[in-house]
Amino acid sequence: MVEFALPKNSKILPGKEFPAPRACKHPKKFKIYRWSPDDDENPRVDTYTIDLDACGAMVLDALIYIKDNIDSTLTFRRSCREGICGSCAMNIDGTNTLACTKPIAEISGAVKVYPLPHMEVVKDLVPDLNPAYAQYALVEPWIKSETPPPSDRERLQTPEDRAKLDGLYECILCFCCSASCPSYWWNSARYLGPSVLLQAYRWIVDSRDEATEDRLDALHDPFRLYRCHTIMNCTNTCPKGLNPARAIAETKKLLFLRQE
Amino acid sequence: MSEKTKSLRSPLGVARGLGSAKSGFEHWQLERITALMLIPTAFYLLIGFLNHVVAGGYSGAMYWLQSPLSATFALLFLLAGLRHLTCGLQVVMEDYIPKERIRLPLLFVVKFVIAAMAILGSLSIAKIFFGV
Repeated sequence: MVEFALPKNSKILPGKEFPAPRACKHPKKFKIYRWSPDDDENPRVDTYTIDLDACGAMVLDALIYIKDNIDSTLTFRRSCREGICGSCAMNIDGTNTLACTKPIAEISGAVKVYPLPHMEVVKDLVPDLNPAYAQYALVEPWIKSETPPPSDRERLQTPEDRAKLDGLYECILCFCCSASCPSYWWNSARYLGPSVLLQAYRWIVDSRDEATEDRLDALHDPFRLYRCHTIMNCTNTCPKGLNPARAIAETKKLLFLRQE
Repeated sequence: MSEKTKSLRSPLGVARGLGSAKSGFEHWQLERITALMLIPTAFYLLIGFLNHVVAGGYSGAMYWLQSPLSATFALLFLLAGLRHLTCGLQVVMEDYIPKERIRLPLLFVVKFVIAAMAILGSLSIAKIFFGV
């Protein structure tokens, strides 16, 4: 059966406390998941109390502040700090989102920060995204066309066809959606997950692509596609406001249309 | 830790696995079609149940189910419901039972039992309908 309880060596224990600095006017508690592959200890939750006047407005600012000033061992991914690279995807206050676009002010009480759920942890807030990237590679996310492009220009597309890519091309592959999906939790070895399915659909609807048949064939599988039960966590959690559930439903619709 | 040795297969090899089954649409469609069939048949049977069985008792029930329309609806409800049950249980098992050596035999047992229920139910409706 599905494992509902964590294995013994994954049970989360209480961690260290880092108290507020003296003369702190706006203290805020951050409870952050910590785990290191370098020792045999269980994961723990460390509590850092920081002065909000000393750091920027977003959760990522607080994480960087903690790493710079309190605990340099805290490990997380970050790059663009403006919601376009997808590196700082993590579970904040119970929801998968980007630390760089999540305002601390939106969170009441202590800010709980965990890695993306149900992915193997590399260290602290860094999940192993290799399996998810491999699933992305599986859908061959590039244009495939036998017709050569016009010699003097790029491949053309009507404005209407271009509009079909809106709401799809904006995906930054942060995997917040896949890591929020129970179907992906239970079956990530075979189910592709909402982010990869949205990306697959982005190439299926691209009017310039000529491999729609192969793309639909690759998805037509009880596990790869039909594990989606329209739970909608993906759409709920997407930090870019996209709708992977719709992309999956549209893919199912296309599979219907080519059968009937 | 007594974990298995980590696979040395590439992540892409793992992700591709055995490839696409190129099926699954029919199952998905059947689950929805049977669900839709259950709506009118359930309403018809509920109203009939209230009008004939609750009001008329055993003889009322017999009289009601001997009309071709009622027997058709009863049979439709029974078969669509059991088919829907099979589809749904299969999905639930695929979701929650990752081990094939448990899931596949269990699925066979479920399908066998449901097939027996379908035959038993159909024969019962036929018995009442033909009044034997």
